[in-house]
Amino acid sequence: MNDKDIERYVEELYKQLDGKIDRAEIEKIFRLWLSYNYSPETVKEKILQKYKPGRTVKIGEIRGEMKNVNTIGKIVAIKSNVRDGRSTFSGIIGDETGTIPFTTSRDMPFKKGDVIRITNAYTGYFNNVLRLYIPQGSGVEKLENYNMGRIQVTPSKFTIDKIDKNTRNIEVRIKVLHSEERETNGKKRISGVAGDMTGTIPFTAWNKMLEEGKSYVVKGAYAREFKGKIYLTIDENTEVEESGEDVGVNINLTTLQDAMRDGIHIGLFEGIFLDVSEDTGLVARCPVCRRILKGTECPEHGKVTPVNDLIGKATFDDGTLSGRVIFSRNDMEKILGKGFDDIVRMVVTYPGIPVVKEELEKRILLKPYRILAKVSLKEQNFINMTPVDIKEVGEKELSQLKEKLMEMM
Amino acid sequence: MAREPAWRIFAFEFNDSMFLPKTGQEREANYIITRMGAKINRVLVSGILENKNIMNENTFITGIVNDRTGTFHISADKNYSPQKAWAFLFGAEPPVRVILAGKVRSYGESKNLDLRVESIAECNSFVEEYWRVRAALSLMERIRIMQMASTEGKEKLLGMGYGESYVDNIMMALENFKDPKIDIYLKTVRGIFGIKEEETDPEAIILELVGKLDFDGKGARYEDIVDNAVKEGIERSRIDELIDSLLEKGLIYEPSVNIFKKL
Repeated sequence: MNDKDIERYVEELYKQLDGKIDRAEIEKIFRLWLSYNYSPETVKEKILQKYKPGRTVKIGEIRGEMKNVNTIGKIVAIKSNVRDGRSTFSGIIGDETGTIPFTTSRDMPFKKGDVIRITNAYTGYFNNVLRLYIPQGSGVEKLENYNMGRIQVTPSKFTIDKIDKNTRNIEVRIKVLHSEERETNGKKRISGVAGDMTGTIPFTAWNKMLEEGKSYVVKGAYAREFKGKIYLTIDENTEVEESGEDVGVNINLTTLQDAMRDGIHIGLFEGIFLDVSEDTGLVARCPVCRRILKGTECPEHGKVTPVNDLIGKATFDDGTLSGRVIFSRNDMEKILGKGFDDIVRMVVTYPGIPVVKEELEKRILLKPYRILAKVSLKEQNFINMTPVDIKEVGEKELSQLKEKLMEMM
Repeated sequence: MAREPAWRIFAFEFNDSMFLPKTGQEREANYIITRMGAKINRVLVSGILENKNIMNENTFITGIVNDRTGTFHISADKNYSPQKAWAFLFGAEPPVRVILAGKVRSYGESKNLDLRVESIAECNSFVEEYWRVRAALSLMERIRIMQMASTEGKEKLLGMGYGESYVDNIMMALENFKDPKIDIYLKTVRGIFGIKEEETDPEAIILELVGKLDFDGKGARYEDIVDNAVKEGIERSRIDELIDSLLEKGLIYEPSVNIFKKL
């Protein structure tokens, strides 16, 4: 927390307290609380509770355990429970900023859709979920003709493995493993694969920026089933924020055979490159459709000025099946440890020799690699693999395998 | 047809196999089936290229690769093998540590098993060790399935989700080789990684027998001890020596002739 952030909070508090307390005093109290390792949001709440009791808070502002909560909300759900002859009510109320479940032993003669004002309630955790408790001594009244905006349902936190086909309002922390940008009807659509410590999930995002390799907190997404697979859908109303900390991704090793059998779209595979194809090297592409050209004419776009590109193709075998890995220019630069210009210079220096193929062979042929790749089955059981991440097997991976072996023996 | 995967397989299993009869189709691939039920056309192996012979006026090379469980006979043909593989073998000076992919082939009238090299390179000990671990993992999986197949039968394996052709190969191996020799396989693969079978101390066995065979509290009879010790796999000629040693150590005594009792 730097001085600038503190200044921002102080200014906010100053406004909310209607200037009743001067900035220096607020800052002093703020810094005092912070020094006890409270989060700035909590400190803000503490100060507001102390100097502005009785103020009405938005439901979205209710965080953590609070006392003397006054709020206004619309009943989203309500039911009565009778236990031991005593009846209690529970349900959910919400406003434009969020929702919260409530519990009360008071009489609640209201129905779904009613807007109520609650005074002197408190909050607490039950089963790790924050709830609003409305005790006997609190006040509850129905507000007629209250103009309430669209209720913002507070997203619930999920890990990828827990996302089901009907899950809505998902809050999830993900790392984008792969993303591709497309345009549909003028709308930018990004499709890709995201992961966390529990697994991976394909996603579709509309008009949002999601970059490969970056971590995000996504709030308000929903799941959709398509061709038997569950997709995370991120639409315009979903909040996407880049995460300060890197989200760890844990993908278990799989085999090409299992991936084909289970219809997996992306997986971590371990195997050996058995062959590097003659097609490896510099290519000319049509600047419009990216098709690889034999000359300067594109079958679709006529005479064009081709753009240079670099590709690599290799046969990857994991002992169960084999696939054709297609390396992009980025992959090639990474594996060869050379920039594009250096590679072009190399090709020009040794005309007639497939130097790029030979360089690639030197690095990967008959060596064990782990590749995180998108896999797709082409006709005749031909598996195409597009790498997302590629890494040579090292001591760490070998000792993992040894551990597994010792368990089996 | 999908491209045949390269099996990571030890030489001792590779050589403990038989060729599958051909069905007569055109361009039919060679397959062997091993005792553990692997149906193999292509392999990936690593080991030491121990020697090589250049033959037929520099157009054919044979060699031997030892993976420390046995040897693979390998070959390359100047006209048919990939240039890169041929060039490597032609220039190689054994001994050299290699990793190679090749296809199974039979040669000669006695239909010897041979590997036609597709791709080969010198490798370091890390890659060899990696290969060995992978080959062992693959074999342990087959041993596990073979154990189930020989005790539970085909239906059980199918019920567990193993593919039909895979299970068929296992059953075919069981039928053809009769005895899967699982114990020997387990011992061999453990041996590769320096895991010794636990050998019980023969003296401890005798000591235990002396206690166990003492039916009336007066002691165990010499004849009973010998009979049972032989059943436990101890050589008859060593038994007297073992009993003497136990007497010397004072762990047993001889209350009357040829009767022994635990102290």
